[in-house]
Amino acid sequence: MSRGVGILRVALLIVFAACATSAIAAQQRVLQTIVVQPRPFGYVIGDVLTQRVLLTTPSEEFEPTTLPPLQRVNIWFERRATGIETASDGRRWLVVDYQLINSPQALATVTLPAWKIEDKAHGTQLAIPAASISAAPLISNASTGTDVELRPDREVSSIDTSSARASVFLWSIALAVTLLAWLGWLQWRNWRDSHNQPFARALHELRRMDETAPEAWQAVHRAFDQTAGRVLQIDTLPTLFERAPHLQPQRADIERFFAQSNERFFGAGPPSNPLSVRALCQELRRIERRHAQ
Amino acid sequence: MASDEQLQDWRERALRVEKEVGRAIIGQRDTIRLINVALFARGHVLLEGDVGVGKTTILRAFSRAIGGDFERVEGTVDLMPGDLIYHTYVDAEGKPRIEPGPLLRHGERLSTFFFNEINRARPQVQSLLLRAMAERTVSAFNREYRFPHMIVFADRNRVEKEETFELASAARDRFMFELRMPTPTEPEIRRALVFDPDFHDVDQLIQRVAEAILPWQQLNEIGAAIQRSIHASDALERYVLDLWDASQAPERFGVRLEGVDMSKLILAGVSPRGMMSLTRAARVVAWLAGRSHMTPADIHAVAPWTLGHRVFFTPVYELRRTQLAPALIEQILEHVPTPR
Repeated sequence: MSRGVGILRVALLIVFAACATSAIAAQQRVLQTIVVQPRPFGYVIGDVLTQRVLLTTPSEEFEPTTLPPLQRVNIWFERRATGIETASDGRRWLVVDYQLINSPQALATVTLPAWKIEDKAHGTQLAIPAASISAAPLISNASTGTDVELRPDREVSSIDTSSARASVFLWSIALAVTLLAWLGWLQWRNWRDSHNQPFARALHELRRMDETAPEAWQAVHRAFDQTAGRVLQIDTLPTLFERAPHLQPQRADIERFFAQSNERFFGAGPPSNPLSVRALCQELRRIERRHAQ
Repeated sequence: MASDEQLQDWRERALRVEKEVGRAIIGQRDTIRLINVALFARGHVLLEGDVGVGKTTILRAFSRAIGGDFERVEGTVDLMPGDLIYHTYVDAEGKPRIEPGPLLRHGERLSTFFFNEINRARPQVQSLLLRAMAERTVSAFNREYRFPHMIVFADRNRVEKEETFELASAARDRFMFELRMPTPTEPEIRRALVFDPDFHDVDQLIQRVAEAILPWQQLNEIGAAIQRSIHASDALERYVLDLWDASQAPERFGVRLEGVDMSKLILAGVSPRGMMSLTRAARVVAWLAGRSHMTPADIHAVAPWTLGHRVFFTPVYELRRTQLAPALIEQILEHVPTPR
């Protein structure tokens, strides 16, 4: 059962000021207001009830100092939510939701307790009276025998998901094609670079060989030659930096490479502390790629 | 076999020759270095240049520094081979006399034979000179004369073409270097040459050069010791052989010359003797640099002067040799990869 079904019974209660009832009463005036109590019948465990309290009185505005705390209010009810709403006519309502949290053994009348709310700024208070609510168990006592079967779940009709599945399938295909195209482009770019850009090609060759092998050094030589547009030797290195000034930051390492190469191929043999041609080639490839962009 | 100390000693003397010649000749440092290289590589030199740039002076300065006997012949259109071998005249007593000519006169002491304006001499004279250059011997008076220490320096005037005889390919191949001696371009040197009286009196200028710095009788041994002491690695040998291939089929190495059909350019590449000259000269360059091994830079230092005149073009391109030969060698050096 839900709280929205059925006719709401509006209880108009006029709250009178009782002068001698309490110490608070001696200090605070109790205002008259309208309290719309929840429907008094037809509840089972879990149902939510709404209590509405009009904050706009004919004489003055009521501004609650604090809203009632969200807590269990008695054995039957727990206060779940509070809030202030402004209706289309401009009147302000305090809306309090309770949930029925216990189930009686048989149909029973339970009480939604009375409570108060204060406006300390104006020295006023509202007293909300208790309300009687009839609640029932989910199943009757008569049907608690061992032969009682629970009702099966309600049959739910299947939603037609074929179009959604087709859409997911198509999008998956599109994603796969996009990814494949991207991968293909990446591979093609690497292949193109390894064939067109000197140091990319050298690096590609270096991956398949020992960097101390003569072939590795020769591959880097060919990359320098291609970059300079002529065969380079240590005495013709300035040509390289005229043609490719972006390699200037690596000039010291490049000169060291050519000096060591000269010794290795034409002089005393491999140097005792050879530089890493792979590291040099990777650095030059990085510069080459950045320059090509 | 010469020790390292001897080679070092000779190297210092070789460098001193350059220094001494440089006292008489200014603005020709490269030419002086290359003539010095040829001297220790025991190769002959053909010097080409404009009139009055100092070709004769530089060769005379070298002759003086080398020591040994020096002989000089002027090439003329009526010079005959016999004029080099013998000299006939009537003596004071009216008797005909025959004396040895300039080539034979000094015997084995002849260290420098200077042939001025060689392209004015007839082919017969050039042929005689070919044998003298290649074999360092000449047959005359029923015997063989030997000049084991002789180096031939020749010069050629490239301006005049009338009444001249272009050297045959075989003759050019006998020269280790064919050097082109440029007119100095540096303003300070040009000013000194024109206004400094010291450079106007050539004989006095030559006197500045210290005499007989080198043990000229030992130059052949020194040259051989240098050749033995300078090592050529496998990579360098491959490079030189590639250069040789490129001189025969440059298009295979990607060499291109503007406006030239490369497949029709070459009639004959460099000869084996030319490649020998290249490596001999490169070894001397390495030695002068104080190294015990050759590098491509040593090859580059001498290649234009050893290879340029040894590549022969087809007739359609031969007329453009002056422009094409240097460009071709430069392109070959730029395109033949090393190390590989």
